[in-house]
Amino acid sequence: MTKGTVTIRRFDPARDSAPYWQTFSFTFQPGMTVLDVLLEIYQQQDATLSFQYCCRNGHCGLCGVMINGRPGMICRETASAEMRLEPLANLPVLRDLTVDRSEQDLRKQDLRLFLDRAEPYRGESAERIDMEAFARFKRAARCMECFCCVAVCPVFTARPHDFIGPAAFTQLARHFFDPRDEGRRKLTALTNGLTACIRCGKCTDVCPHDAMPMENIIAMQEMAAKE
Amino acid sequence: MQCFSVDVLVIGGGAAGMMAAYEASKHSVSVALVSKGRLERSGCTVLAPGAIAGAGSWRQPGDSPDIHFRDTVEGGAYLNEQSLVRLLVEHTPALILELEQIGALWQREADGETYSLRIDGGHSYPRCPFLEDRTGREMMRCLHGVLRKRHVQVWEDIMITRLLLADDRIAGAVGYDLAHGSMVLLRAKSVILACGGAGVVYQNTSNPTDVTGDGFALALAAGAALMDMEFVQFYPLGFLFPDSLRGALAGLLYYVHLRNKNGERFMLRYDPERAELSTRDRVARAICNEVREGRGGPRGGVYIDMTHHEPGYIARMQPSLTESYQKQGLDPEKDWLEVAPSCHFFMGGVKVDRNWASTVNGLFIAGETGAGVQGANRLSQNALSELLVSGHFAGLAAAQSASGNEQAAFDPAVVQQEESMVARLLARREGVAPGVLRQRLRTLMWEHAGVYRNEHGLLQAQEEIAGLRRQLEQQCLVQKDPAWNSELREALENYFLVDTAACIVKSALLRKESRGAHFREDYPQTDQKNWLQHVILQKKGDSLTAGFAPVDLCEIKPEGACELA
Repeated sequence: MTKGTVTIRRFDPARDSAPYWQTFSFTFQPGMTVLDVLLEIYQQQDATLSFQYCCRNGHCGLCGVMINGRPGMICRETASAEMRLEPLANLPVLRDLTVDRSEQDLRKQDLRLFLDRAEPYRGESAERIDMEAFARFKRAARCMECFCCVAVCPVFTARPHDFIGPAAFTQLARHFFDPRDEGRRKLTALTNGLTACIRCGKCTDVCPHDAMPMENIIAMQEMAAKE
Repeated sequence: MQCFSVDVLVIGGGAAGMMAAYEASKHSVSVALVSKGRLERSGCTVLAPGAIAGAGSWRQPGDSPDIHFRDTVEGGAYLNEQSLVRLLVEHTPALILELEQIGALWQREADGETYSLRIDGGHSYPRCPFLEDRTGREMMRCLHGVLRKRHVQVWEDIMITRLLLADDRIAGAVGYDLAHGSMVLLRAKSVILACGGAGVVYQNTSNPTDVTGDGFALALAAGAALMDMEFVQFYPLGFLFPDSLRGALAGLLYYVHLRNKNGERFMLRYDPERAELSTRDRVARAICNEVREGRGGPRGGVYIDMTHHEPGYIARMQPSLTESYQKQGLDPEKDWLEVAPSCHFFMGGVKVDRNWASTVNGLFIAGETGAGVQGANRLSQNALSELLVSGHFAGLAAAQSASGNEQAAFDPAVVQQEESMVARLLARREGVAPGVLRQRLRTLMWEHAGVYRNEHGLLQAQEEIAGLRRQLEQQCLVQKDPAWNSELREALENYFLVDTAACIVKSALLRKESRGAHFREDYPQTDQKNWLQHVILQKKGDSLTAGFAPVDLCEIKPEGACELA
């Protein structure tokens, strides 16, 4: 076991005039996660250090953090002996590494993220589904909104009020691709900036669940153009 | 302090709570759901990789709800309430289809209309629809969508600390708004508790960090009866490293050979025919026995060995686990991985009737918080079925109960008591850290009330829990900010964990036999003559009183059962 050091961006907007960096030591073990490091600091050194997590295993999407400048979920990312941690970019800070997701949630409100259909299917066995559409649906449905993609998206960074962002588009894509859905998904996608994506691929690159935000956006662009 | 009024209040944001809220919203009442975390980001359902057991129109020739019934009751060692199991097997298929009506899609074969089905230990036929390895998330996604569509109010990041009671009826709940750091009063005509189990009470658990027995403790404090609290399922293969992943599912029994530190494939000694495919409780006990007898690894577990498979097989069959192995620097085709059993599920909980009504007027239960469906041990894939059916019936009954009753009065002093408890926690200048207290509890529960139990260990646990209970009022926080205070939340949850632990230990002491997931070294046999009955716990003043209740054996009886009066 060797000594590790981690430098963390601390900020309590209610008390601190500006963010500052603080360095902590920890016991480094190869294979430990970044979450292990933060828990050791929280439990043994500084219980005021604020960060969020719940499931510990990559499913709740609460623990996204910038690790050495790249977004990742701290429960899934392996720690290195020297690290720099910052709150997820493009999200307001509540305290230290805890970010405010309410603005992102607000973006979802008008997207009608449910099956929009006048008459529900009422058969006693499974409804027949186009399997190609189902494959696209499944890919988009893997998103668990960790917002790692939001943190790296250059279009969102530049025009946050014109482009709803890769996470919200992936949420919408599930319904856009759902062959049962009768909602006006194309209009919704277009009015939320669908064509603004520059296809840089950074979102897909950082997505921990292979939900492929860029590919979802491109598929929606192509389907919207075809109709 | 914020105050809201609603007809039906659902406490818990997993799929059980959402199902209950969705059902209640169909019956001309106002409905609100309050959750300690955020929807799709908290609780157990969102982690569920499995499938939903139900013998619907997709069943194979020979299968039927009757066979599902028998599988469930035999898996539950005949301690299931059979009327509830009947409701489970008859109603799950329609609810699986209803989830598709509101937006879910389950895996299909190439024709696009035949469900792909899973089978798992204890099921006689493949009967369980699923979606990839994230069936739970798909349930959450469609239920969350339908709640928004139907404008069901959702209040997130609010931790309920106490239920409100009138003389003979529920009146609502009082809680703490974790995001804003203030008290919340929720007045309601009926309440549905859907808070999951309490995996966090044990050192090793597959549950997320917020599953802390809230439902058990809230119901108990409101005067409701708990049942079968000694029955806790331990999944045999949980990670031991890294620490943050401790207890998370580390492998599937189908793919592994279990080895002790000498390299021996020890399951052949415990169950020569089935080896690793023996029942989960036997495998868990065998692992603990190997460790106790000195044949375990340095982290207190045994090894899973998957090196006998052809190259690429493990990566193909379990891609996400393979990623976890690799992140720890392990190659499943070359290396062994140390694992130990892990607390997975609570079969016991709040005693309910056929409407999932508790013994308190107006208080209903959904999901893992309730008891009776799973008996002494749960079959795989039956948890998601249970939450659908219990959510459905609890939602319906709670709506009816709210329609026929007025908002009950309550004693405002209760709210002040809760408020002052929080204030004391924030003000205390010295004492024990909540994390330290919790760690002591989890260790002692693992040692004395885990896979193996005996009278001596359980009595010791009882004494230590009493000590920890006294320390609850000495908890002291470093972080004094009332908002977004993780220490404060831990401290409040510790009250629930201690109550839950006390119930498990008391029930485990009383049940002087071994059955299903409950194993007493000093009473290793199943005793059909004396113990085909439930242990019931209730709170009287400050103490727990125990009673017994017969098992509902309305359809089938085990061999050796005597006729009950």
